[in-house]
Amino acid sequence: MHSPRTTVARLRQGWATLLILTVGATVAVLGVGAAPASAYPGKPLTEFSFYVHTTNTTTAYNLGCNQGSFDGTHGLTASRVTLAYGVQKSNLSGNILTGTGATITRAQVEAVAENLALGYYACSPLNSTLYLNLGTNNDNSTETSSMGNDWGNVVHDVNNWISGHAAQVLVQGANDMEPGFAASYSSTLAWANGYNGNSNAGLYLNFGSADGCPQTTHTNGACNNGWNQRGLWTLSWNIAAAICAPEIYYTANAKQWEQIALYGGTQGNTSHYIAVWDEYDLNTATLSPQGAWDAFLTQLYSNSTTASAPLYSMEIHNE
Amino acid sequence: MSAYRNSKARAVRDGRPGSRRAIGLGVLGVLLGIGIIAAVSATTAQASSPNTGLPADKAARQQVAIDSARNKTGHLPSKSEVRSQAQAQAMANAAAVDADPAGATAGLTPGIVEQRQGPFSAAEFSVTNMYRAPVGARWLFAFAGATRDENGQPAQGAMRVYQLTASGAYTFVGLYPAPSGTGALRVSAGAGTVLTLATDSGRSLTFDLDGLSYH
Repeated sequence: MHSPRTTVARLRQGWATLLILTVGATVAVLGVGAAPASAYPGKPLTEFSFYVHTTNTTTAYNLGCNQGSFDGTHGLTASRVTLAYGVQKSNLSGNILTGTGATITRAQVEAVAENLALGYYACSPLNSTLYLNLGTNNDNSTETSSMGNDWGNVVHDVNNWISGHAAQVLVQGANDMEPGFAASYSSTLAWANGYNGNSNAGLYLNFGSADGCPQTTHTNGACNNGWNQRGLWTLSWNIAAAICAPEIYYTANAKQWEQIALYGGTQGNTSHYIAVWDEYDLNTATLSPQGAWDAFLTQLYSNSTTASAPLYSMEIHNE
Repeated sequence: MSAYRNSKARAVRDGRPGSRRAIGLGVLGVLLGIGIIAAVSATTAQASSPNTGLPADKAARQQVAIDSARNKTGHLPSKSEVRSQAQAQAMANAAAVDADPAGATAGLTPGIVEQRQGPFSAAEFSVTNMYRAPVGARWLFAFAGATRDENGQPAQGAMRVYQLTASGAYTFVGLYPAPSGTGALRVSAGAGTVLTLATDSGRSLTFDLDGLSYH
């Protein structure tokens, strides 16, 4: 039997135990779970994407081999490369390449992608995966649903070819969707819906811009040429096939895409971004890969609903 | 004094086991907190695929595409086989390039190309159209339009020029701002290396691709 004094002492000890446990748990939760807004993850290694200028399959193979070697050297288990082929021709026979205006046939589009995949397979370690995005853009004033659907067929064709000739490469679509290009928003949306309607096509990556969009508000504000925040959110995330690597060339771009993500939040579907896209190699007046990452992540982590880090840092180069 | 000494000694003597208990309980509390965070994180993570970072609906859509392109033959060449074949193909390609000195520029024709796409974002330079022509051993591509400010608004009329060599190297040559107040430029005609430019302000300019200057 305990004396009253001992009982009081045990009661005090119990309360003290509870207090210490509570304080410890609180410290841990506050310390780990609610990191300061500025504490975003570091930039992953930057991977190169390319404006395609030639149809040379050896060049494509070497680009893939370079990426495979890079992944092996750095121990990467996943990387992402976009080939930008320029605008699709309305008759679906091929593309008009960015920069030169030269024509590339649909068969050449596929051959370049297949050889890059082959090069990657040949030179990569066994445990890595390359996500290869085949990119077009919306610089066609008559962008249509059929064009989107057909680009999905191109993606499927290449995936089909790869399955019998290589491995470790997964092809997806891509589109450099920009309000400043020739297609209107409704035409661009038609393309996206056409791609989305092709069930064999998988995902497409929007690696475009948000020209003229608001930087401080997310109330479906206007962007250039009749586009708006809702339109960019739709094309970049809300469509089931859409993922996005926004062009972050200036700090203003980081703010624009953050506001688009927040606009998505008002619609119950906050945008998330798979990569940060820069063009420092082509224009050193724009943000470097690290600068683009910091600018964008600062914005994303300024709000708990958008505080999620992209998986990749992508930089466009000339082939 | 002695009382102070005694009390301090007692604290040291009696307090040590108590301190250990308190530290132990504190550590237990921290572990409990981390456990709470891990449980919450695991619940949150169920909404996205762990390998791709994609939400479930997008990951499922991707899987359908993967399944639809599954290998039907069952045979896959080894990495070394692929490398050997690639070497042979590279030699064949090199021979083909040697036979065609035009290389990457083969098939290009000089003239105006009505397109807005350029190897840069429309958010930084809005293209009206483009003119291409051979100049010496290289091809030049002159994009007419206007620079844009960081907010994507038109800033100044300019020509943005790139070059492509036969070896396939495509590089930036320079940005050539038009005299102030001209507004966005458009190539209205071209003869050889001399371009006639129409401007938003109604002025007409000429731009020489040889000297890369306005007249």
